[in-house]
Amino acid sequence: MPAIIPQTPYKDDLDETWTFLEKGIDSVMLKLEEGVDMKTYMALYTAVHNFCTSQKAIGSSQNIKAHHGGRLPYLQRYNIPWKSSLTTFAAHLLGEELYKLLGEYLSRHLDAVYRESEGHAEEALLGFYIREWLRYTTAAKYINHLFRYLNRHWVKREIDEGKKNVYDVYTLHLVKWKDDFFMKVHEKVMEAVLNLVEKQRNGETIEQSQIKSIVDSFVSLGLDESDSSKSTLEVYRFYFEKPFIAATRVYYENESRQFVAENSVVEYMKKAEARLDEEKARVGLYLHQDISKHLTDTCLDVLVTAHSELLRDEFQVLLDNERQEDLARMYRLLSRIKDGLDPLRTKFEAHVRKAGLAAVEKVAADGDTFEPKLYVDALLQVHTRYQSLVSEAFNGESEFVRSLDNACREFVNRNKICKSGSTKTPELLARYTDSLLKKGSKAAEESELEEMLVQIMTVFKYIEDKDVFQKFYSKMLAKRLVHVSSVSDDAETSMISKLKEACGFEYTNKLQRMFQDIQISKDLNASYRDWQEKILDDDDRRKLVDSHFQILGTGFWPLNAPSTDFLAPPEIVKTAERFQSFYFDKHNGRKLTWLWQLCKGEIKASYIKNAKVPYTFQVSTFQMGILLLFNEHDTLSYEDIQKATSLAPEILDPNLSIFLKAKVLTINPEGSKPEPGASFSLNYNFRNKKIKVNLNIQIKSEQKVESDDTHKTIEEDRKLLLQSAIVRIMKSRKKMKHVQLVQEVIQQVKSRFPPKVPDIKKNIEALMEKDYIERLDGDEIAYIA
Amino acid sequence: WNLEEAIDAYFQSPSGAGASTSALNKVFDSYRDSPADNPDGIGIEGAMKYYGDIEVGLDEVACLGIAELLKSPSMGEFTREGFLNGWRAAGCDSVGKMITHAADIRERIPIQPDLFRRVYRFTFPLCRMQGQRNLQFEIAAEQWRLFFTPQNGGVQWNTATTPWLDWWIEFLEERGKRPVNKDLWEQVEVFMRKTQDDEAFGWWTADGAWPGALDDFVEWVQKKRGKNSEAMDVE
Repeated sequence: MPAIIPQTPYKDDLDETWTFLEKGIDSVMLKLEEGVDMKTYMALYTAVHNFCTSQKAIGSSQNIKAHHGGRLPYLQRYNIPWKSSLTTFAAHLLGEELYKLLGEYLSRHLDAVYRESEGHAEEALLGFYIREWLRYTTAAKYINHLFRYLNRHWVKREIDEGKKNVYDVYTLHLVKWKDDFFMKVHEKVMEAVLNLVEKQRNGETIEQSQIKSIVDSFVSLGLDESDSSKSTLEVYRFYFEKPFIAATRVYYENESRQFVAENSVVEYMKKAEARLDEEKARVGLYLHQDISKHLTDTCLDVLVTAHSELLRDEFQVLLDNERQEDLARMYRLLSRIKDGLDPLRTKFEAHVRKAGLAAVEKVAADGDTFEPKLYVDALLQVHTRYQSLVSEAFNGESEFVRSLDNACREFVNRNKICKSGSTKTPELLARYTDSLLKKGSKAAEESELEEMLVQIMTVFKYIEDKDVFQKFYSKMLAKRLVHVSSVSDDAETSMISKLKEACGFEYTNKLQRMFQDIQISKDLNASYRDWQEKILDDDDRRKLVDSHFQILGTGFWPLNAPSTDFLAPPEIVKTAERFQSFYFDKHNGRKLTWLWQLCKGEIKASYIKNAKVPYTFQVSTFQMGILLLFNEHDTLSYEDIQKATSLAPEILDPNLSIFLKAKVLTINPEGSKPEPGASFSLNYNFRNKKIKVNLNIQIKSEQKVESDDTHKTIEEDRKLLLQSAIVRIMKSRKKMKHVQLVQEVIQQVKSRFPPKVPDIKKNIEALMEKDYIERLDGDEIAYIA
Repeated sequence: WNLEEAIDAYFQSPSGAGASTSALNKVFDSYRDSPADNPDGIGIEGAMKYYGDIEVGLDEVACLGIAELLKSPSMGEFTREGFLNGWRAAGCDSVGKMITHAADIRERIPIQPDLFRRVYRFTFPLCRMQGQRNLQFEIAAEQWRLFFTPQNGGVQWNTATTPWLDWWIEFLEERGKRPVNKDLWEQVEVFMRKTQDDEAFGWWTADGAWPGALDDFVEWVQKKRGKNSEAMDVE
């Protein structure tokens, strides 16, 4: 440490002052590690201060002196805003010379640095640059401090007056660095940086901190021209980002081109994904955050967009082979570029549809006799498989979900099995549901059954003709309820509430009413038994037939009066009449129609020889009517039976056949068919393994007729639905364009079935004829109140 | 009340406005069939005679034009109210003036679409059988032949390329001669005008507001044309 106390130069002498200052600055700049003692430091600071406050006027400052006696510092001291007090004078503060000389000094220094830098290249150059930058900026901080006074006064005023190219002393350092050094070396420096990065991309280890320092330096050089206290990223963006991005593009263009040529698409996707992750990490490691988006975009452009055709071409292959992981990778990559997924969705939709159609085709291959379960399972399997693909591989993305839904709706409603019409799927689905909800179904566990009902709703969601499902479902529900063959009330309620949730109250209204009727009937039977207890005498009791009645509200139940006449046996008639009198007592004015075709009972056959325990026959009421005739006779002719029962031949004949087949009756002449002329005898030698014999078997022809009827009522109901929708809309709108009306009707009705425009038009015309609505000029329809 | 129509009537009528009500009443009275039973009505016989006197044939469109002017409640019937209002508006109070005016109507019907439409639409309730909502097919077909040919004062629908009227009736016959409702009756005339603008159905779309029968007719015509052009190709 030199012990010489520096002599503060004479304040009015520029040369002396500068010579003094330069020496000090030089030691700060070049030998800071040796230290600057406090006194020297103070002397330098004072020299700057003194020079700036010297009274010696130079040039135009003379004027100020003349008027003000050079007492500007006086103003300063009293803190009077000098600017306003000097409105009539050219302001002059001292310091311009010092500022200029400092600038020249810096240029000289940097020139030397540059010359030295020419001896370095690549990593050595980076090391040199960083070293010099560090030394320079550290010194700049001290020098800035030494020149505080200049900054505060002369520089401040110059800037306030809007002078360009005047900066505070620290910034001056940066400007000089940029102009006198950086501009000469940045290309070489960047070349070294990029070579280093390329090495790293190629898998070598590099010293990342070097690049980070370079980045920091470039960022520091960004100065806001209009406000030097602020920094911008312009220099960094132009001299670092731009070449960096360009080099990245070239690097990955080459790499991906080569990789694709030598590897499979699947391998390439792995590579691309790894590279994208790597570049993202690179930003965090040593780049400026500002580059992040730009860098990612560039990588995506080169690695994904440029190869998107290739990727998409592979999509079908991956789908065909169910490569879920690779599909997920492809989704991740293409989801990051603009419009990357659209073509995939289209392909996916087509693929799912094809898979669905193929699955149905398989079921249809065995002819028309397949189980509804087989069909529904086929639909479900395809849906389940691709739903899981969408959620696993495609992130459950809503557009893919929509594609899946579209495809499912297509193959559920239009496939080989529904060739004859889209009503086949809802019918089969309803049948399958019935098979689950009927007693004796294989789904023993309640939770398992619930699970299956949920799956049914999945298919139901896709069905367009929901009204058809409703029709068949209500028919089958009616049967389950009437025949007490539901697997459980809970399951029935659960299914109804699911349908209600999907389609609203109106859809399940009748189903619910049917269910209620059965509950009410239970109570009714209980009170009927109480009533019976009171009024029966002993004779009645002996002849009493055990009975159960169900009262089903007309209009809610899809049931019709019997298609045949029937004279019920006297035993039954008596029971029925007794119940009727009880019922009419309770509900005056109601009408009861006996649905004989749905009634059934059990009769004991005590006539049979060799039976320890009498056989019990489970029979329909019709069958009961026939068999009970044999209480009086052993043999009856066909005509006798027909006359006594009044049954129509299409009911009588098959039932007689059932008796013959079960050998309850025998026919004469033997081997003939039930027809006029034949006679029937009771078989006293009847034998069966079971004590209870079920003779109440549904006749096949009935089933077919039922299904045809259902389809017919669907057409009628649709007409009504359309007309009521039209009237409802017109009633609220009063006037409406024809086209709009049609659209609105479609909107209202489509949750039940997809209406055809000609059908809507036909019903509009029908309503015009009925004077509900009329046509005005310009295709407008008006409501007629 | 239509201003244009009234002005029209004023200038068209040779005597101008100011037809004498008493003179009109006299004319009306002279055609009554049974003044005692029906003092304010002209029945079928009187109407035939009246048409003859004002030189209007029963088989021409002008006859329906007069019925429309006088608001006949049904074919061959006039009421005093309709008779007076109609002729007063036309400014006619003598048989002579009526002859001139009828001739004028005859001339204007085929060339004034508004008038044509008014008369055409009035014909639907006029020709309906009592108590019926729709027009029997046979009557409708007859009226179409009257309105859509120029022979008796209608407009020409058949063209060199398409025998529209013949095809329309043939088409309806094929479908089983169903009765024609009011909407279809009125829309056929609108349809006729459209086909006159563009015979190639450029104005037609499947989900337009046309009655179903006309939609089906368009399809029928297109098929028929397709066949014809094929046939021509073969030749």
